[in-house]
Amino acid sequence: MSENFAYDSLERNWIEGVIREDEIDRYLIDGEDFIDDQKIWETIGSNKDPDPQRVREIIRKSLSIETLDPDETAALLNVTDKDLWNEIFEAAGEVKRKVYDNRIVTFAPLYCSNYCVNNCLYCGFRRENRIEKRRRLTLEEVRDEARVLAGEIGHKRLIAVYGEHPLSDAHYIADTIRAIYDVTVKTKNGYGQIRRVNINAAPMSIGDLEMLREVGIGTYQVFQETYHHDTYRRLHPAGTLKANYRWRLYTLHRAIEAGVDDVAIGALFGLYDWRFEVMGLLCHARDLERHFNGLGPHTISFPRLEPAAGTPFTRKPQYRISDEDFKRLVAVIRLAVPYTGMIITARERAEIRREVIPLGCTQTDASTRIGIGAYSDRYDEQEAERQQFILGDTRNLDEVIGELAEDGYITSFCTAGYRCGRTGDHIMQLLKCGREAQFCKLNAVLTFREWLDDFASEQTKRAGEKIICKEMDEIKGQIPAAYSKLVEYYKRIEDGERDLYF
Amino acid sequence: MVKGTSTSNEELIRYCDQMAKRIHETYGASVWFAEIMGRRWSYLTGWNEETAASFTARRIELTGRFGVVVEGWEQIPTEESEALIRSLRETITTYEER
Repeated sequence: MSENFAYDSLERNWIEGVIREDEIDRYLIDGEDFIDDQKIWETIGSNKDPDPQRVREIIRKSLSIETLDPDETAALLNVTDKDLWNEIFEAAGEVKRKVYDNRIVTFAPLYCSNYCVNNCLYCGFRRENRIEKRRRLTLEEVRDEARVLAGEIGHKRLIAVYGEHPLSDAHYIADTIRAIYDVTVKTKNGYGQIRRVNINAAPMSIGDLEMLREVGIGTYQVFQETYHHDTYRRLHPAGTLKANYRWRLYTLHRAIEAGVDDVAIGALFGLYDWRFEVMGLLCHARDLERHFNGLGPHTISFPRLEPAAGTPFTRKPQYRISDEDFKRLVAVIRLAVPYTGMIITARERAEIRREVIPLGCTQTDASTRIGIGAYSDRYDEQEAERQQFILGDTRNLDEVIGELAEDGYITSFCTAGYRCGRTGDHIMQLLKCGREAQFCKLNAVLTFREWLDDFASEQTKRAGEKIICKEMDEIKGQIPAAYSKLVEYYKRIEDGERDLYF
Repeated sequence: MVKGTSTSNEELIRYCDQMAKRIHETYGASVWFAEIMGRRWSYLTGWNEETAASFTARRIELTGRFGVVVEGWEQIPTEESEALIRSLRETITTYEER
């Protein structure tokens, strides 16, 4: 495994113990993984020039909140008519509103360590990138970051991010999660805490994942980067851990087997053909559902490749995704897997985020800093050499929430579900029957009120309160059984209580 | 393939499932059990869609490891609810000690 790189003995010994072949083989079917490149291309090819009537039938299926099959998804990907695309965009927004209403959940990334044993051609953290300044946060530094995020910005949900390295192994990850959960900070009218810590970390064994489960991780997110086998092989040099396509492909299967039942998939768009990657994401979601009794991904991410310091590959990628194709791929993912959360991040420019959110996105980040220690160091300019890539949108949370409110969205900081057993297949059932939407609607109002009282500028507060009034009216009509309790909780929050939820 | 639990105790899950059904049949309350890991309450079994109309869910820690969430708790007479929780606590503790 590690013969091609100048690893030190700590790294070499650690690398040798990471991959367990038996934790790949158990999921294979007749020795094959679930991504059949040729079959995906055949499916895309056999659904070319779809009849508009068929496309509209597929849209109708999605509007009835049913998952699409690969042929149907491929047909949408093959649409060329501009008006038909507009119908797809419209339907994607409608599907989102049906399942998630007008809520957008916000979060922030917290980069804990950028040491990495891999050498992925497109990544600023790759081992041979000598420009990158390496740093691993101490646990006290992690707490400092959490204090800023929870106490000054007002985030309640984080995604902690780690490079693949013995210095940021599962034990370190577990320690950092505990450290983040430890933090409670006084705010203007109450107190702030990070209530849900999701992680983006390298593939792990079932044993390591069981350990992370014990510390109460929210969602475990691993992107396959590209589902195309040959492209994957070219971009992840032999001799590195990440070169093992299948170890990565089955990470989330192992996670669910370890009892981590909220898992998140994604592809890095721009490494290969975007249509293929959408099909790959669909195949991934379907294989998880097949193995685990209908339990699919909690969220899907679709980051686009961005420039990174000392990383020539990112300057002129062969498969760069245009803004128009980006909108298309988001809309098709929305229609193909109607229940799943969809994340658009600050990689994208502000204007693109504003255009793409209505196509079905459910989560976004703001006040985003991706340098190691960047929140507590309080630097505002981007520093390429300590970031994995360059951000497209560095606006603060107040500005983003203000814009969302202008556009009719309520920002939700709800983290209630995973703290009362609404996880895994349970939350899937609740989403399907519309019940979770009711909880979310109630909790969005309560958590937004908290944030407005503690962190909002006057302008954003005014815009936010308009949205809250509208939501309260809707709740009174749509969920009368919950209304009096909501009003009680709302008043208690105005009086300084925090973390009341349904 | 079934997802794992850290206890891998299928008997315990079966017991919880039976209890969730029994409580629903007797009192009309919707009940689900969860395994507690830090802040996370990870769903184990239970819940009944038809009766899920109440928004007064109560979250009760049964042991350091397991908890139950009850929607419609107010439908269970106080004395019976106390006895029920006591019984769930005892049985789950017994399973944990095995």
